[in-house]
Amino acid sequence: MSIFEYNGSALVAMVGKNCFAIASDRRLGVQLQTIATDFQRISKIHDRLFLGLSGLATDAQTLYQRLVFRHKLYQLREERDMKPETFASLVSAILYEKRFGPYFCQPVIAGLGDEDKPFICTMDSIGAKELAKDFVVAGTASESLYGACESMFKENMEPEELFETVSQALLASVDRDCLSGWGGHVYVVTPTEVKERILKGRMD
Amino acid sequence: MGDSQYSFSLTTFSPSGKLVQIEHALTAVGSGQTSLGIKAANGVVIATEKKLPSILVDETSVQKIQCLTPNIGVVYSGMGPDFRVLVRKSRKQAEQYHRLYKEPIPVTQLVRETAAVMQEFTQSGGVRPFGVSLLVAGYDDNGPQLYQVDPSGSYFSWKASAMGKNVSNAKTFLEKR
Repeated sequence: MSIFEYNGSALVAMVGKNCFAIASDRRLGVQLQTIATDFQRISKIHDRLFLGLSGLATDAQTLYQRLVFRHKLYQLREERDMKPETFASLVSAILYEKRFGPYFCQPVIAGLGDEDKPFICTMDSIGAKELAKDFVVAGTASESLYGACESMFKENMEPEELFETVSQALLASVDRDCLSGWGGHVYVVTPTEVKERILKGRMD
Repeated sequence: MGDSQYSFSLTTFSPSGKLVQIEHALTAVGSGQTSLGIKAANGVVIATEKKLPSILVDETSVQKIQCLTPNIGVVYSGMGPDFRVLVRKSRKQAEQYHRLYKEPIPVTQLVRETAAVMQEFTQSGGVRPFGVSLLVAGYDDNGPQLYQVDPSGSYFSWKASAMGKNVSNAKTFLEKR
């Protein structure tokens, strides 16, 4: 089993009309044994920027702590929040620093940039950025997620419809992956509010 | 200036609470060629006197105003060679910021980092402070900005400022206008 599949994960981020959604599964496993069914893979960096980390959970935790550290210093020095594009460049640089002994994570970054334009991107474990206009996926269920998102995605969805689409895509995909699942965690972010919802899917 | 017993060692405070080397550095600045800057509503202007020691000097080889980034420029009063070193260091810092964040460095951040370099040279062993004051002019998301950085490493934001010879006359003129 590959190191990326040790804990199991599923992450997806999707762009809507002046909003975005980022969703993850809730399973934390050790190979085939399920250890937790309420694991948080998505973290808030600031009100308009969310980071999801798939892959090895210990690396995800450490990487998250390092990024929060960098962002807090940035906020203190520059007296402003980091733009999502800037944050993505920072994550990419930090991952590449460990080029020959990498963090075994695949991050998904989603945020609202200038003029409330939604921004999503993912990258591989050594920092190769992949920007997308519609959706990005990561984790053990990524292949199913690609298929589900490709067929369900529409442009300019309103927040409510976006939530439905992301939830259906996530639940359908994790059902085809034994290492991810046990429900879902969805954040839908608009310029005015952040809605966090828990999904109940097949609890296996 | 008194306290001559304390004026040799950079890292020693004099009894009056001054670092005498910095005072001397400011004197070096004060005898340098005048430079000034004015912040406008939609930009910043910086200017300096370019007086060459002889007509035989090729004036195109002397660059008293330099770019630190495409949207930040700097002018100085004081020792030219010290200025060149600071320009080099600041440009490198600006590029490092860009490499990390893929974003142009905000003026305040570059000024802060340049001032930190100048301050290091007032607290390290075996070095002397820079004999220049800088006027950094830049334009970023916060609009036009003008900063003065002194040999001690302190920096101030100005609407208009002058440095070097005849600074009091220049400042009086700027205050009136």
